[in-house]
Amino acid sequence: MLPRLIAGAMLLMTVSLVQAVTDIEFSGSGFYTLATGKMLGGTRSNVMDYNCPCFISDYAQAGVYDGRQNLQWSPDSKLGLQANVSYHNLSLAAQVVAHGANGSADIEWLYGSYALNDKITLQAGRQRLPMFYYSDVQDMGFILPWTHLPPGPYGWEAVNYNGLNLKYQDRWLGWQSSMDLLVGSESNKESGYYKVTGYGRQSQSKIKWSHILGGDLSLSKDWLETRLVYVQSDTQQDSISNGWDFDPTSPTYQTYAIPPGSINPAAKQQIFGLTVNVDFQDWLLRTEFNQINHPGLGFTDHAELVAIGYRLDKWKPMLTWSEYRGTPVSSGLLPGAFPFPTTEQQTITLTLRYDLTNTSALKVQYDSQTDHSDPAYRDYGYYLGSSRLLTFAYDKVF
Amino acid sequence: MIRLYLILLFLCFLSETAVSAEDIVVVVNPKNTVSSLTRDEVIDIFMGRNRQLSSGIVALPLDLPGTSAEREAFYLRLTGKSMSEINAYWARLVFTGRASTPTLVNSQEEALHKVTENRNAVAYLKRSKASPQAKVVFELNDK
Repeated sequence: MLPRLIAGAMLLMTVSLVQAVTDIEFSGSGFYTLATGKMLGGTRSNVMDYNCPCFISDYAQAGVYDGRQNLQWSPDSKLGLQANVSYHNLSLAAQVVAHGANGSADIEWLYGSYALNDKITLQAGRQRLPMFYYSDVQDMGFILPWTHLPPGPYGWEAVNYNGLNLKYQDRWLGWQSSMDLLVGSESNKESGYYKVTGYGRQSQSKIKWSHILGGDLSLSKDWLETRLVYVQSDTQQDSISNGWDFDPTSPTYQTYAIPPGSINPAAKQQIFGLTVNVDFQDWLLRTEFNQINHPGLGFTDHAELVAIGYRLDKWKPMLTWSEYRGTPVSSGLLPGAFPFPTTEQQTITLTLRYDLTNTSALKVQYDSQTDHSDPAYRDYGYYLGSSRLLTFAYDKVF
Repeated sequence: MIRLYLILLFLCFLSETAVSAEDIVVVVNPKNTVSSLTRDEVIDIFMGRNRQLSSGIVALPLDLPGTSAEREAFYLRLTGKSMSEINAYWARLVFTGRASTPTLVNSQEEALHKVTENRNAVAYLKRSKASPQAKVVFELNDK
């Protein structure tokens, strides 16, 4: 009797196990962009260790087109691979992206999801920080209307975070709505941002965003889509090349404009963003307006873009204006900080996209950037000046 | 030989026209108590949004292959977007973990078979492929 019971139990367990295994679903997907570009002209100068005229196409990965070279393939070329495993309401996703800009492969996404119901999903792990409309797909050229994102609005030091995200989606009074609430932190020991904005190609800087808290709300109906976002965090930045570190008791401790020797908590920042997009018949409008307050650091950031495009069967021409402005703030500074001079760069971009197949596209793009920053930046050795860039890209998802 | 190619091209054109001119219908299992769906509800179901029907059933949308003319016609009429734009939309949702794609089937016949067997299944077909074993809950005509 007992052997039969054991055999029966084992059979039941085997059947359950087989059932569980067969319920597990695996899937894989990927994308790549093969891009090349050439500087057509601009201000000739040496900025940090770059030979300008130069165009920063990707701040996070330090993607720069250098003015004194011919065709350059690395700044915007990339390959991404993603694997998903799901079991009923649970899923796990991992995405690795190899960027030509920094020559390395990085884990950009690694998170688990649990769908509480059809409307609410809880996610935990490493994800994109949804500061801007295209933040979550910034590496996926096929989804973007450009060969690279407009660098002004999308040029920030942190693009990911580790933490929790609660997603909600529903339909309210005929409006499709989705909302995210997130908490987490981010640290990066090899910041691309400071290679192109502060210390040069060979430098090493680390950044740390702690106590990240934020959310976004998207509402769309027919031809209109809107998005509001708010994110706040504490920020720290240290140049390892210069021997600084995060230890606030260290005499070389530095937080942005705070001189070595000052002991202060990390600087706080608040990010506000508004997106209004229109897809009306064959016309496309893309707009983003962002402001980042850094009370105490001596400046406020403004980043905007306005793009208008037209859908002509498989062709999609688009004209984009974008800008970044850093304006000085003199009240509420942390001890030792001082107002930054104004930074101001505008870019006019003309893009032509052709959908080669349903999963691939060809693009050609012309960028013309002008720099209206305070001449004081010339004294600091950081003044990009104007630049004109031509890029070609082939984008594919699979 | 050239004539043969021209005739084949003409036949291809005719068949494309025939697909695009025929109504596309959305069908569910007859046991599903939903009698009709609105355009917004169909968009929600097939675009990875709210998939819970008014009957309480969670819809299981079925998609035809990416090369299918019916699939292209369905999404173009439903959303006004090309397959390239639909693929970009889905790539964004899939790569960011926001939604799962509809279940892929190989043909309209397989879609119809799944609908007759599964009360959660929702499929789109050419009207001529529909049968009494499936309930039509939404129609997309050529206009």
